[in-house]
Amino acid sequence: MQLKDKQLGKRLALATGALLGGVQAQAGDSDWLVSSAVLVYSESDDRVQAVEPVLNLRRDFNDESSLNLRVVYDALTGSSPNGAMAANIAQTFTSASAAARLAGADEDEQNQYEGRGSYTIAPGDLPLDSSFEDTRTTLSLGWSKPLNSGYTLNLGGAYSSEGDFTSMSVNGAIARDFNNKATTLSLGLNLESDTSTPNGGVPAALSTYAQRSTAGTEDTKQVVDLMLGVTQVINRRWLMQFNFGLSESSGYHNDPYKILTVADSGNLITDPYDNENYLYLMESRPEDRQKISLFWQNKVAVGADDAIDVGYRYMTDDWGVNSHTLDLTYHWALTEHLYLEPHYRYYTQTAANFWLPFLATGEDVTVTGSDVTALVDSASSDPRLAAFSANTLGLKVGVPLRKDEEMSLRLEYYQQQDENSLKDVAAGSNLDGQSQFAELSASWIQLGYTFRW
Amino acid sequence: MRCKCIIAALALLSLSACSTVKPWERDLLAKPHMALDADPLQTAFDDHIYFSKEASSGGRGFGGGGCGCN
Repeated sequence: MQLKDKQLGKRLALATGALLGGVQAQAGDSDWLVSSAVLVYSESDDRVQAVEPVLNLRRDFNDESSLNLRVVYDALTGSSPNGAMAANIAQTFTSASAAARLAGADEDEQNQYEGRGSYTIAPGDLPLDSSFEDTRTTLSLGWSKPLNSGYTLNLGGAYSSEGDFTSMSVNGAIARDFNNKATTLSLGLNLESDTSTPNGGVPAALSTYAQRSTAGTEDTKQVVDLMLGVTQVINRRWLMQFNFGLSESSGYHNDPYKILTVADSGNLITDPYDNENYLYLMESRPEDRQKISLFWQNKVAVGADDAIDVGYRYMTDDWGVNSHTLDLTYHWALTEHLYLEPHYRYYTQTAANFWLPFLATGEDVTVTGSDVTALVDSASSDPRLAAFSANTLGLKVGVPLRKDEEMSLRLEYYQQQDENSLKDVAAGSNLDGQSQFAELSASWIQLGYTFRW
Repeated sequence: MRCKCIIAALALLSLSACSTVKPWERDLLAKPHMALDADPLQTAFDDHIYFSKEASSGGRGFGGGGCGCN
């Protein structure tokens, strides 16, 4: 019993571990707990495909401190929406990223990229940039140490690098147990610094796609996150967590590869700088963003071996995005060595106040001869900033082999639904009847194996 | 909004006063599947996927980051 109480106490104290990337308490063994997994992620319509192996090493020491190391590798290929709208006529694009890649490519790479620098989208199809290709490596480190008087200190850091993006962060959290370890209060701080080095340079905001005006080769963003958490044992079967999070980020928030269609009464316009192509502008987002999140989670034991996990999150930001997320999982132990976990998640968000499916002349932009002037400060057609809801259905099969040794297989399916009101286009124009939001569907499989080493 | 958050936090804190769960009654809560984050790798994968497809992140822990997600 004492060991179980100790385990629970550590779990509660390390609720802050969740703030630091999900460090989970284990019994104080002196060897490494190795958690490995590979994720295969696939979007429909030949969009993004990813393979992501991860290795997590955790060691618990006799003084109840613990160390956690994680390495994640991410290989991405496929097509990504470039932000332009589908039209009833063909559209040709020459992406800055693909052009820059071609310019710096050796002969083999040029053959590999052949035809991908410039691409033509058929009438009615969503404009997808097929030159999307990236790899990402993330290293993270976490350290937890119980202090005197019921306090636990957590410190961590992460470094992530991909072809055109680098991120570094450090974090710290302090947790305090109360009420015979039935209550844990935690306070965490995370500082992050990101650097974007887009292929082809940083595009000037709302400049024309054909001009390729750049504002330097790199830009940065700083993020500060603050989180206050309470974990509470309600009764023998019910554990609850409540987090309040504040996030402030400032700097470069744009997606450097996303563009917007410019339309005059729903018809595409010839680019004044490139008579062979239509007019598109590079997107622009505000330089600051403040977010507030509320997270409430409940774990309720059912019978001796089953459990319900219910989570709810509300998030609001000063870009106009408000979201609700509901997450339900049931842990269903069939035998000592087999369990199932059906999972359902519902998500809904409002659009950012600068989200636009396209820019309309006279309303969002004026075009006079070769003079293109944006009438809006910010604009993005990124579907991530649009209004939509999404459902996820999943099932996990777990095979616990012995203490701290388990194999698992998980399958998830994700489907978005458009919740935007249509922006007006003239009847019979190029954009008439075309989708203004591309609903995404994706599925992923995760294979995991955890063992002591 | 701020006021509601403080009230909610205080309400949760007040629960501690009525918690009478003794240490020896925590056998169920101590099981691995009852951990608040029972599978941290799974949580990290999902957080990363949703961070790259939706405008929200964080809540359970610090939000997103470490990804250009173009």
